[in-house]
Amino acid sequence: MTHPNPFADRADAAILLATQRSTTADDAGFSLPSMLLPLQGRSFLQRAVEHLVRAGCRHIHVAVGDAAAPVRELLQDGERWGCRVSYHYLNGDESLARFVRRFDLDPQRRYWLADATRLPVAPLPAIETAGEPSAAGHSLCWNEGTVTRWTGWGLFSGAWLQACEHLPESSQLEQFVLRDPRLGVQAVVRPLAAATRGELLGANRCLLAARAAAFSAGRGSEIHPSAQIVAPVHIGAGVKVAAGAVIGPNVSIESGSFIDRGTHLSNSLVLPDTYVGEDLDLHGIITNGSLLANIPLNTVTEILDPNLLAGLPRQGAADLPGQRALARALRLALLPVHWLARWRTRHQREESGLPAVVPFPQPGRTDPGRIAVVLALPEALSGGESRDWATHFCRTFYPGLREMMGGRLQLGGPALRSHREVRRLPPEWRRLYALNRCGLLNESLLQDLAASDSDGQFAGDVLACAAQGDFRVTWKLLRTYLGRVLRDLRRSPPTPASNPIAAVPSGAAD
Amino acid sequence: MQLDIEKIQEGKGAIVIVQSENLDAGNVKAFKDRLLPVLEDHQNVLIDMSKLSFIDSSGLGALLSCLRTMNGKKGQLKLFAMAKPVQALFELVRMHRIFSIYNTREEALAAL
Repeated sequence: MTHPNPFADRADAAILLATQRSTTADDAGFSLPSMLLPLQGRSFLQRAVEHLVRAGCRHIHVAVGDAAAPVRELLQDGERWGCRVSYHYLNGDESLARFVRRFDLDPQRRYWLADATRLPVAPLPAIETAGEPSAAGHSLCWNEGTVTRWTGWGLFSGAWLQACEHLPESSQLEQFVLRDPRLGVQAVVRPLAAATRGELLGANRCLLAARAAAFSAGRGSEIHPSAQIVAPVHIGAGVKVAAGAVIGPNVSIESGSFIDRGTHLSNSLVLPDTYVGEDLDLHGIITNGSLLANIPLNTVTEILDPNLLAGLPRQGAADLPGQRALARALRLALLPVHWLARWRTRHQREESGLPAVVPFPQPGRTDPGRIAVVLALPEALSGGESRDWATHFCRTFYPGLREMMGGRLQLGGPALRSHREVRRLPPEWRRLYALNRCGLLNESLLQDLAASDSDGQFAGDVLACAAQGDFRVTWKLLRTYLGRVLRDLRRSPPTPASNPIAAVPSGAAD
Repeated sequence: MQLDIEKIQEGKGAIVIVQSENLDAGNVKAFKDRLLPVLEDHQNVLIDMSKLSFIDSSGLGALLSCLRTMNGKKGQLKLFAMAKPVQALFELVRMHRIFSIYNTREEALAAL
């Protein structure tokens, strides 16, 4: 007898718990929780969102706690990841049961429940099912010796989430899930974790080991010929490594950092824009500016001598020639367009009567075929015939220019193709078209595609203009993009039904 | 800068207990002034650093200066009971390779 795959009906909505606080002993002094610290360019939170989007989620409800501001700053409206993000405050003393009751969950649908401090190693859709399917849902677990542990991730039915009146706080959730006999268990490998600094360092090691290339250096990085690299090592954009330094193994140096002469690093993580002085030894260290977290000693020390450790003025990858100036010029030149687009999008919002925070879709309003077509091609995005370019410009592109000045975003995106052409592309490229538009993209997306794709003939579809430094390509992309925005602005205001927020991807399939 | 000094039995040397929580530019001169006579009078000196929670570059420089003095007269300078933040700094600047560092007073005494 064969059982249907419980993961086949992908959920298109998720609750992502991002309530981690910086209260543990080894967090002292660091301004951000571990889940927000960049690890080879991307934080745990960002990776969690990417996992959910790849699994088909188009609407992610992020539960935030004390660290709400940096979470919102990172994810914004989620459009850069091809999803919609809503934020909900989860008070420290509030149980999950009470939190979940805020949503009008459809008992028949499934929802991902995810923890931003733990990350499954394999992409979610690739997880194969074993055992009996469960109507209540499935939790992703791994075996630690003889003990079964929950990853913090699971696919649960709305009925199960609603019925769990005694769902405890997130810290006690693991025991609750493991003890519930109604839930199926899906065995996975041990997830990466970022609940503590030590776990973050371990995750860095795992990610380095899993990379195809044992050594990678970002754009604009400079490594002195006499420096030694002992793989696996990740060096971010704009990093400088001086003479005689010994880097590795298991080292990640994030963007904009400087490693001075003769310094040895192993099993360490250097966070962005950090100066590491001459002839130092860093083993089992996470360093962020003048803060030094020694993981074996379980201590955080602030180093007051700027000749040893210090924070550098934020430069990031934006120091590529012309990028910062281009972003400034664009912000100035496009200000009238931004005002107009803001006026238009505000007009749309008033017409549609949308609330500021959009709840889960109402039962009965859900298209039954919607879940199955999550990864299908939304015509509005792929063929360049969208009616909501103004919204994209106002909420994503224009604010993103500031991020571009900081080097966190790149001007790029898929080239505009006709809808018919896109349908014939390989699945990976169709996904790119389904989830992204030309405009400003997170650099990691471009890196991922460049690394994963072997279809060289489609490489031109991703126009990483700033990275290539090709003015003609930049101009072509900008002209195309702004042309769509202006054309959209000239049109009459859309009806509420065609509002991009109201009409998430339901009827978008080809 | 207050230093408590204990003689080790059988004239082996002295144990110096640093009573201050900080060793930095503000008190490093007083530290050296108090410690130098002890270094001159004894062949073996152990420094109890259990109460020291912060040390900066000038403090490290003072300790290096003391080590150089002891090495010059073929004596021994040992550190013990170092707090974790101080130990982290020692490891960062590789001074844990230069100094003999012990976890406890007993271990340091046994190494004489």
